[in-house]
Amino acid sequence: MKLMLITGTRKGIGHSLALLYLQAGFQVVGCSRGNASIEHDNYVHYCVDVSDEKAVSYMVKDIKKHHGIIDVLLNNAGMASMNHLLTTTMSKAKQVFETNFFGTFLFSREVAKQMMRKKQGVIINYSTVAVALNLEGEAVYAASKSAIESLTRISAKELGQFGIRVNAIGPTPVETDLIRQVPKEKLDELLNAQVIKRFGTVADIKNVIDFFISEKSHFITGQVVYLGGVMR
Amino acid sequence: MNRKITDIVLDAIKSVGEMEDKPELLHPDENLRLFGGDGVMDSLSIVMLISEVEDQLLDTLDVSITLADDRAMSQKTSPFRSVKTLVHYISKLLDE
Repeated sequence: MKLMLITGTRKGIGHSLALLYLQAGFQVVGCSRGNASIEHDNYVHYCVDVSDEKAVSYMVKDIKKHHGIIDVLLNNAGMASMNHLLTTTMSKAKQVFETNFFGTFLFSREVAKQMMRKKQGVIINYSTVAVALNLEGEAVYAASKSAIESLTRISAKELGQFGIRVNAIGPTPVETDLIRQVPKEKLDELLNAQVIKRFGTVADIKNVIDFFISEKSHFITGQVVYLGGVMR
Repeated sequence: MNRKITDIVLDAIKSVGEMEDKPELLHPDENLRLFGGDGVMDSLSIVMLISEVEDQLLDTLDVSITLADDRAMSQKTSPFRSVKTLVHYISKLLDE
């Protein structure tokens, strides 16, 4: 049974993906700041702040101790911040980078230390179409995801020699909590910038993840795949 | 305590030797030079060793520490130079 670690499984896309991969026969370890919202024989939950270095390091070691080496890491935990640059507070900017970038960095580092011993593993990070589209009102959010794209490409180079592949998905907006605060006009504008003008779905995201984790994809690393026909 | 830490480090070196198929790491002793000069490990083996030692510290002593932190990297004498320096560095971290 393959072991998948998904960060941010309490709600939204992470929650849905955890359920789908449990259904597909994976053992899933999830985490969030709050308590578990999934009950399943093959699901284990950790309450952790993804930007807390000590907690993340302990969690990953504990997973290895009790469940073995992780096969797939899905750095799903993230937070959005839609705001004009001039009205974005420093504390919000820090918060966005802590969850999005530092969370992805910490889990990648700790999990890769385990995967390198097995000489295999797949890490999937989350970017966003906001990076490719340079969306106004998303300067800090898109910057944090741009940092994740660089992390993806460079860590793919550094970890390739250990048989670890690192890729990223750039989803379009999906109707979840993350975009609840975004005004309708803004979302329409965003959808219009896509080649395929509709919201993304969890199934769209899972399709790309399935591609990345497929054993047939062992020649694919360092790539960022945007949904909806968005191009850089 | 130093004996236990030494055993953990020696065990971890052996594990890296097995994983990396490096016979020179299979029978380590306390005087082994690890990194730099005539050290037996390259930087990749050191990364594996760090990870192996961190895991074994959790398994055996139930402590979770990060060995490759800013302090370790900025020391004049690298804690990863030899078995002795590494054992000394770990026991210092555990005392804090």
